Amino acid sequence: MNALKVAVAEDEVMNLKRLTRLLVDCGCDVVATFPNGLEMEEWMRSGPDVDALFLDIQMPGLDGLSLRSSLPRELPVVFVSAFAEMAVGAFEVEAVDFLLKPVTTERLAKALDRIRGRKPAPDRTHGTGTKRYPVIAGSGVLFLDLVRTAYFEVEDQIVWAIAGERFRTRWKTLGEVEAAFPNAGLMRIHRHLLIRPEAVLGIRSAGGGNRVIVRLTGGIELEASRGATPDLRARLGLL
Amino acid sequence: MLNLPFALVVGWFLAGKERAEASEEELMEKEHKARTLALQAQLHPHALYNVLSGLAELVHEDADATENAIVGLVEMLRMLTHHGRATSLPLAQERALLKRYLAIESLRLGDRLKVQWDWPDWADPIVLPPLLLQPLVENAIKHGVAANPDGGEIRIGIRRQGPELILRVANTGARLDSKAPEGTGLSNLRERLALLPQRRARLNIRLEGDWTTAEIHLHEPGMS
Repeated sequence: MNALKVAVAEDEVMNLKRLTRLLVDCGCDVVATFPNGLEMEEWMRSGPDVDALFLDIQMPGLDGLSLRSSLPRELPVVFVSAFAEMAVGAFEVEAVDFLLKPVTTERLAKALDRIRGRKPAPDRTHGTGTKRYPVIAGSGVLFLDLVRTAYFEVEDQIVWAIAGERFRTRWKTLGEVEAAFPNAGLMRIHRHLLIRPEAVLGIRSAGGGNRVIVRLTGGIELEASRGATPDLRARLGLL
Repeated sequence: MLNLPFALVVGWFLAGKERAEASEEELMEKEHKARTLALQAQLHPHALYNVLSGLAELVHEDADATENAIVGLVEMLRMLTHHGRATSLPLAQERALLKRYLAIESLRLGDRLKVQWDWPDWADPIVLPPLLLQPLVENAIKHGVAANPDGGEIRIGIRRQGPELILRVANTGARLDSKAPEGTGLSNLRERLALLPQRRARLNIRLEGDWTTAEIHLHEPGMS
């Protein structure tokens, strides 16, 4: 099994040394360590080869929870804190695990097992498995399943995901959403609307047959553009 | 039947006794309140979690340093218990407590914490309620030094200015957020200062350039 590549952000010297030593003892490749969240955030922008992050929650400049929300890509994160009450915030942003200081080898090994359990196999990038994406929720993020999403809508360079409720995503264009899920079969029915065809419950004509109204899960109705209507009908097996 | 002058004298005497008892009771109540508040003002145990976690690693690197740190920690906790129970102590004891506390925090923060003292010898024997400076130093570390990626400096000083004794804690690091609500440490300190009306005690916190400065002003008895 390849060594898990991990990076650590922790502002307290001895606690950083401890976590790094224990990670190495557990067979990890600690590719980078940082004394605060800001430096790790900058490093993450360079697209490093890393499998998981270990973040202290209380750090100067940028705390672990905010750092989690600003990550440019989805990565398993384990939070570390001396304070048990921080666990709630950690799991709200979908932490893989939450470790109390002082971290012990036994507990760390369990966290690493959880990470390995979540790490996708290299050949599964275009599979049909669960696809998730982050949406902004207060000061943190939530991860939504694509299969629970009815459609995406862009407004003033903000892409909103409609999945029961309306969630703000971090995308700016629908093109970015399509690029994120190239094999998901998402379909533009209007310049500003991208639907998941599996979420379509039915369609009906309107405006004397010139327009098509699409009914989606949750009872939402959207109007497809004239140009998109033939493709939509074809995709739904109506032609 | 008691004659009137005698009754008046007795009445005056009893009223005086009641007054004396009442003021003694009031005094005791004030002392009790001050002690309770001082106990509450003691270092939050949360501050110790990170220190103890750090020691779990230090023992792998340097057994002697770990031993010294544990001894220092025990002494600091013992001092805190003593200070929390006392109604007044010489400032020398507060200085000793602060040195222990700062040594522990240095272990946690490393080079990020720098400390300077401006503490004249004449200040040591001055007797004051305990734990006046400790919450200010704790605050300076928590919100100033530890909150800044590059750390900061703390200056602890005592001076006389006219009839006043001024205890001062100034720090660099993260800037004071004047809009943020005051924490329990400071509000507790303000409550304890309010129990010293004869000292006309007050706490001022302000920004001076890069420095956040907290000063306790105390009127010195006998000074005009």
